[in-house]
Amino acid sequence: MGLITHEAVPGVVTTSLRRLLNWSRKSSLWYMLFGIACCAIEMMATGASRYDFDRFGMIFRASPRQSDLMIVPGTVNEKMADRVKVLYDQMAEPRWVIAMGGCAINGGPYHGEYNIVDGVDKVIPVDVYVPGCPPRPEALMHGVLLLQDKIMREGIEIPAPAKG
Amino acid sequence: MSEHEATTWPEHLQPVADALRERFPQLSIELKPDNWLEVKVDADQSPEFFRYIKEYPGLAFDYLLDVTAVDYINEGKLQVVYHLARLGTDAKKRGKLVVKIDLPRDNPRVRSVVDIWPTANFHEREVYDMFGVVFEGHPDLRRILMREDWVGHPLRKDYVDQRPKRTRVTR
Amino acid sequence: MAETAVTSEVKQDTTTPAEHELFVNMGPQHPSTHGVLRLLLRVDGERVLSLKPDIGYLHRCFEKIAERRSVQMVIPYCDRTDYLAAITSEWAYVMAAEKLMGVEVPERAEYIRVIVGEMQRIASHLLWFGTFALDLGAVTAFLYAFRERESLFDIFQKLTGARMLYNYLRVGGVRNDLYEGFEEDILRFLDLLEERLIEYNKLLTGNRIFESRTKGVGVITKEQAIAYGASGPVLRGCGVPQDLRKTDPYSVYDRFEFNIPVGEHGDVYSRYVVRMHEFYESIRIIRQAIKTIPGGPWLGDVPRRMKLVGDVYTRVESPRGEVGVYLVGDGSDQPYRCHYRSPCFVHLQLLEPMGVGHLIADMVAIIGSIDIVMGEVDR
Repeated sequence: MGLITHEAVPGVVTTSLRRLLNWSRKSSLWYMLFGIACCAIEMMATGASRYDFDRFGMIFRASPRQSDLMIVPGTVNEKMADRVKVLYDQMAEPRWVIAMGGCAINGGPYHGEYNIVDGVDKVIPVDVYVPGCPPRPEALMHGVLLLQDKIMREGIEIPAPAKG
Repeated sequence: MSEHEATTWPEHLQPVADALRERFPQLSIELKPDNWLEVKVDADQSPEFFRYIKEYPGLAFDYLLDVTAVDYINEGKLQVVYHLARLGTDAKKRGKLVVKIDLPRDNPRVRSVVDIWPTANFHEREVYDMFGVVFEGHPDLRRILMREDWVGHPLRKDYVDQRPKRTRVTR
Repeated sequence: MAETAVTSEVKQDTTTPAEHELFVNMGPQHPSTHGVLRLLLRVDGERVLSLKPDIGYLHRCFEKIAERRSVQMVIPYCDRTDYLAAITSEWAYVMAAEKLMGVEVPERAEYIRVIVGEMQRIASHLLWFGTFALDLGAVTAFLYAFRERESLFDIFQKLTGARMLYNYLRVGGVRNDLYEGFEEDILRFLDLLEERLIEYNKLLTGNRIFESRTKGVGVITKEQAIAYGASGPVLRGCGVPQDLRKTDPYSVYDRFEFNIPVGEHGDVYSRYVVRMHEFYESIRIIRQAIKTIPGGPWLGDVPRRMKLVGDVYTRVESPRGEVGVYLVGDGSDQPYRCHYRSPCFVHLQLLEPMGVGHLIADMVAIIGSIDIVMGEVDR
């Protein structure tokens, strides 16, 4: 979803401020360098040579205060849950969360065991769920693209695309 | 242990068994797969035993691999299991030893071995965390994996998870 | 560098800090702690006075879960303990199960295990090389290492279907045979890797900045390493030639020729050198195994109804050190108890003797040099 829908006068772009804001937000999603478990390694691989997250304007930041996006890559347990909440609270609005992998969605292979929080959405609100154990880098990228769509629609009424 | 079984042992393990028998004649020593020697020790005998196998020159088990426990709930006992080895490329000097100590389930206490092998520190904390075995003389016996306010010892067979259910958070 | 203070007994640090001292929490979210390790540091300026590792932020109940799954169903969970070296974790577990059930493993399966095991060691060391360099500020090395890692993952994907967590080993053998063309793929990769290793060494090994960050940092003596139960490159970095593949050979490792690289000084640099040499040894082993691999079945005769009786302890040399599995069976097809001995769990205790007296920035190098994986520490 681009910024420019049509160009009435050549060289002049008209758009609503809301769209401009959304467009700039989705184009520089800085994510927090925050690894929990196996998925963190795939997240690193997504940021590294072959898959290259930088193409989406995504750069990792080590501090929650500088990041817009929190990718939760791994199992959250009782001991970690409070920390995840603290990290989320430290992020500045607007902020988004991607639950990466089965564990972050609902506990995955560890669902229902003692000490496991069944899904990170029991602790913080989640925007996009990326399934897989661990998800492939392509899957994570797809999740990010979905999130970008979501950001682009924020505050704007866009009719759902016609089917067919 | 019968004479017959003793003669089938690998050559390099015989001195180990002899050294153990010399000090602890009542000890039952078994040969397990992969040339592990298995020894069962009483809890009150254990400090003396561990000190001996570490310091006696013919034994000198300097390398503690692992401390763990098994909950035999039907027999009403907790068994603490130590795995020990000697380092070195010399096959003659090698030796592997399993030490098992049976403890009662309701009040399991055993002497800590941290002062003999410092590596036991974390292992014993884990066994305390998971099974509730109290290691006497441990310098810092706290929970290690679970939260400090956790109730119960999860790897016991009769453990029941009693956490309140969490509900989904939305924006 | 100040001398490393050595304390054999670790006490809870309850003293109130003096005016110029600070308590600093490093982690659980810290870019260089490789996951969710938390270090409680007492510092005077930048200098570390004492430190306590706090773990458990990734405790996922592996041992309890193993008691409620059948023998084969535990294997995927083994992957997720040490997720950077899934094959070696599986290996320790399936070896234990095979010993309890008395299952024979066909020769071809053992060779395949050695090949994938060594491929796994290379993959794990590549990730270690990349992240270790990244922690010290060398971003290029990180990108280089991931490039090679992806080429290796292509082979893994063709063979097992997965990138990281393979679920490939089975009780009695492996899940599927090598695919057609595997030999060319892996040999081509090894040639490539050998070329690239020269590049890696050029980047870091002689680099003055790198050397001054790593030499003489995080020193432990041989005696300390043994007393604290260290294994793998941490122990070998101190000059102890202990490698289970040689000293207590399992599988078919006694048929291959390879060396055990050892370091001299027991510092971060020695551990680095040991791991860099292990690349070459793994390459050697794979080449020999490819040359001599016999034909035949890749999965042995396994009883349909599996019964575990007795108890056994098996150990395997993983990229990080000695992995052990203590498996107890009570006659059913589920393990009665499955304990996983993790090398990193043990190595964390060495952080205190290694780190005290150094700067906080050196802690980053030290943590990187012991190559921790929190999934394995907490299980």
